Amino acid sequence: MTDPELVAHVLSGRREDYAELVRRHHAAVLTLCRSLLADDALADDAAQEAFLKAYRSLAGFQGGAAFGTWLYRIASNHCLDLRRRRARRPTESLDALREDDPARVERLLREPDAAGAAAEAKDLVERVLSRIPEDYRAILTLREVQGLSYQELMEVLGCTLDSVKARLRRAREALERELRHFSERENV
Amino acid sequence: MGVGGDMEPDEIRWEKTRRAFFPRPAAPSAAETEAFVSRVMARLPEAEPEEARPFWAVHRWFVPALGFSCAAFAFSFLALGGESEDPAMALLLADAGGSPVVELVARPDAGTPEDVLGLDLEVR
Repeated sequence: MTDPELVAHVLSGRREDYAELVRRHHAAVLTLCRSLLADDALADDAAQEAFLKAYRSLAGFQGGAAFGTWLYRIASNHCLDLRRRRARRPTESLDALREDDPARVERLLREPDAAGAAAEAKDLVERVLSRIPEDYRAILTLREVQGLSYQELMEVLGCTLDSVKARLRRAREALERELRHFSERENV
Repeated sequence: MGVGGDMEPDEIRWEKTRRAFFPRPAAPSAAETEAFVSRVMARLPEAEPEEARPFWAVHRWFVPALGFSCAAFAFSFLALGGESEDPAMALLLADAGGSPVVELVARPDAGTPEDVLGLDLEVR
């Protein structure tokens, strides 16, 4: 049974069919939430909320888009809201990061697979990513972690192809600019 | 997996960055997924679809806003209703019973402003 058929069943009153939709999309939504929130417990709660919000507005789901991308949009918006609320806390200064971490950043880029597994590296990744705008982080996560195509990004973000490409390019540039700060500090 | 091959330097650099900063998190196990499905399904009753609920239950601001609007509308009638009286008519009614104003208006030949002005000056 396809996703739109399951949606139609749920809307006609067979609520138990929603379990299959949750089952199919759990891994993708949880992965997205983990990447955006960098906190497993928070990500699990956010994924639950995303599925509940989707259920609540299921009648508004347009069959033109895939259910998965529609769900991604709900989940990423929810995660961005959570991050904005958390962002009211004071952020770490760039100087503090430069002082502490240039060598760790270089090590992370040299050995990403080894470093990625370490909790310390995860913390460092989060600290660097927190320095780029939230929407840049979201589009990079959707593209690089979730592997969404340009077409899917257009549906999730609700913008044109040119806009998707431009935002992706600016997001990459922003992240690389942040990384250059560390590299320059290392080479001084 | 190595990075390189036919890639441009920019692409190689970005691929290293991507692998460092956007590693794919481990997928949840089947048991974790089933536990998650159970948690979501248990919470569904608290998230009934919006279409199934009446408008005022979804938009809870609507009822107090409607009440306030009705109260303001009714108050505007009560407080300002007395001032909507025509001042000219009030003058006529107040002086009814042989006053110069009534006589002036009631006169058959008092049709022009000049008549009114002349008689008014004469009265004063």
